[in-house]
Amino acid sequence: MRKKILIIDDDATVRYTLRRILLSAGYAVLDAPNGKKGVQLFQLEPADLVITDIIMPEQEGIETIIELKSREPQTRIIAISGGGRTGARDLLHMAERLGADAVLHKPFDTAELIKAVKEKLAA
Amino acid sequence: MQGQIVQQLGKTVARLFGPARRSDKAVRSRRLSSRRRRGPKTAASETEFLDQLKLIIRQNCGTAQAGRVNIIGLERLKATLGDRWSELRDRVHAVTRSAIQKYLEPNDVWVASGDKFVIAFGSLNFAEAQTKCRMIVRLIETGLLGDACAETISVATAATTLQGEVIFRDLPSLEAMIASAPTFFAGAPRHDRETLSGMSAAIARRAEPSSAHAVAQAEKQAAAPCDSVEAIELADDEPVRGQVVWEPVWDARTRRITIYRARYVDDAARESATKTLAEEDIGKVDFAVRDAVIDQLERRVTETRLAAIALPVRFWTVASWSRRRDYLAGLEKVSPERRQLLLIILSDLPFGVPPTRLVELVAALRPLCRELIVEAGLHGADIPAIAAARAFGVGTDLHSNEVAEQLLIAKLDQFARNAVRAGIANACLAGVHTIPQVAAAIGAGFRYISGGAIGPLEAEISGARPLDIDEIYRTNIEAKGFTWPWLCAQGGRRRARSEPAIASLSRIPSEADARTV
Repeated sequence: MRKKILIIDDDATVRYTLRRILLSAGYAVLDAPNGKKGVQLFQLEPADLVITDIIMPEQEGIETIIELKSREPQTRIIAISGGGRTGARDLLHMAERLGADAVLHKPFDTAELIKAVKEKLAA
Repeated sequence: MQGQIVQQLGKTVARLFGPARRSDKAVRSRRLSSRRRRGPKTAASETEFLDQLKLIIRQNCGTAQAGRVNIIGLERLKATLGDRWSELRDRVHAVTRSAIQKYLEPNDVWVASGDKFVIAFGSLNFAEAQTKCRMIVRLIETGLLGDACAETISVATAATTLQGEVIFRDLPSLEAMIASAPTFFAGAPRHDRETLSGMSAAIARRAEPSSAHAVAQAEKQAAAPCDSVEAIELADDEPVRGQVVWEPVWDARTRRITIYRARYVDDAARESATKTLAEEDIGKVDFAVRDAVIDQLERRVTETRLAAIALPVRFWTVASWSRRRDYLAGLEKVSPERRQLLLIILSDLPFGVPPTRLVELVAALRPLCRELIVEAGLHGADIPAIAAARAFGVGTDLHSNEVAEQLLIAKLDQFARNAVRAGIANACLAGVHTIPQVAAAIGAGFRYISGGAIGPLEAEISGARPLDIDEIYRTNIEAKGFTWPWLCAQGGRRRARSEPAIASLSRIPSEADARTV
């Protein structure tokens, strides 16, 4: 059975790109435009791995990580952020401390993403 | 479709000046109020618009009453702004629409055509209409540029020749009209000329209090017209209601609360209470806040956990020379040592304020404080001009920038990036109320962040203190009913509390200076 990955990012282009990459790597993919909708979707269809952006409207990534971990401590999470934002690294460090299993600073390449996904799903 | 709209408007105007003036007033008023609520209509083309205008004037006004139809043109402003026009056009139009609507009465109508705004006054005579039109322009200019004498907006009155052509005649400035009332527009009916010098006060009585005061003062100051804000003097009889409280400002670089910003709140403790105040009351509030800050500087100087105090002052309060003099006189009494704890925030900078005016204000305020921050709108702030004025930081206040969070994230990124590009290392963001806004501010690289999500308003300054990012999140997340995670809560807080609690600002001499005050 294919592993299911939930992508949470407010940027539709990022969601689309990640979806394409992960689908072609053989995973099932769900996506949501912010943390609030992501958590709702996760409750309906639990995923094996969550990839979440940090800076998002309505509910941002760190809150989302905390909420997902509170509800389902076994959830594997990869936090992504950056995209030219100067303070994004601070937020990624914090995400890591709060329960993200891995962090990726944008821009990252496909191999880097697939490697992180495989590692976390195997863990 | 647009042609039909213009036609419909033409009919409405025709009814105003023609037989319909004798029809049921209440029905007409309702119809027009409804039109004004819906906003302006745009003509399909310039030619179509002119044709319609011609029809309105010829059929209903006649040349004798042509002064009732006036055109406000933004072409000169467009030329002044150059490349920035496309970016700022919507805002300029919004300010113009707002100014027009402020002065119009139920039986006046207006229409927008590109960058022209045509106003047809239903019940004013020749001189009244023109004076009122000039007052609208004054409001637009001060709203956009902070200077009513910028002469960037043209005003013309429309009339038709006997051959049926529409002609436009530029109007002089309001001050010139008042100063030359007896001879102004020799062709105008005698009663209009006699009315002119006194009528602005009559208009003022119908307009809002601040405008009323401005016009009354403008009449007195016709000989010295180049400082419109000068016109709005403070009334001493009514004290400011409400109180001054302190908003902690978080330094994202040092992870500490290092500054407390003075905030005026009304009796209901609304932070944005000043939004609803008239201009003269805003001035009064700024003076009261200044006095409260000076008082705090005196009281806090002996404390060990020194925090800087940020004193916000609105552009309007210091834009006029006389009021600036009074405002600065209070600050000059503060000793140089105490000034080491004082930051001034020049706030509510109007869009498009001339850079020379900005330099003038920064130069006047800067010697009286440790550093100066200029706070502008999130949209279209001229950050290079602020940098050129040598401000320590540039900021924006989300209280006055109501933007959807999705768009806000992008705007904050752009604002902070523009600040860095202009050479300003310290970007400040106030009015941050949600965790997504905090994340967006940190991510964008804002250094000083304040608002409900950072900490509540305090009745008394509690001093400089460490505040880790975890602590900010913890407070907000626990408020939502989630348990703060197991991993970092203890370590984060313990580490934070063990750090020394002394205010520090980058580029500012040293912490030792603050201690020796």
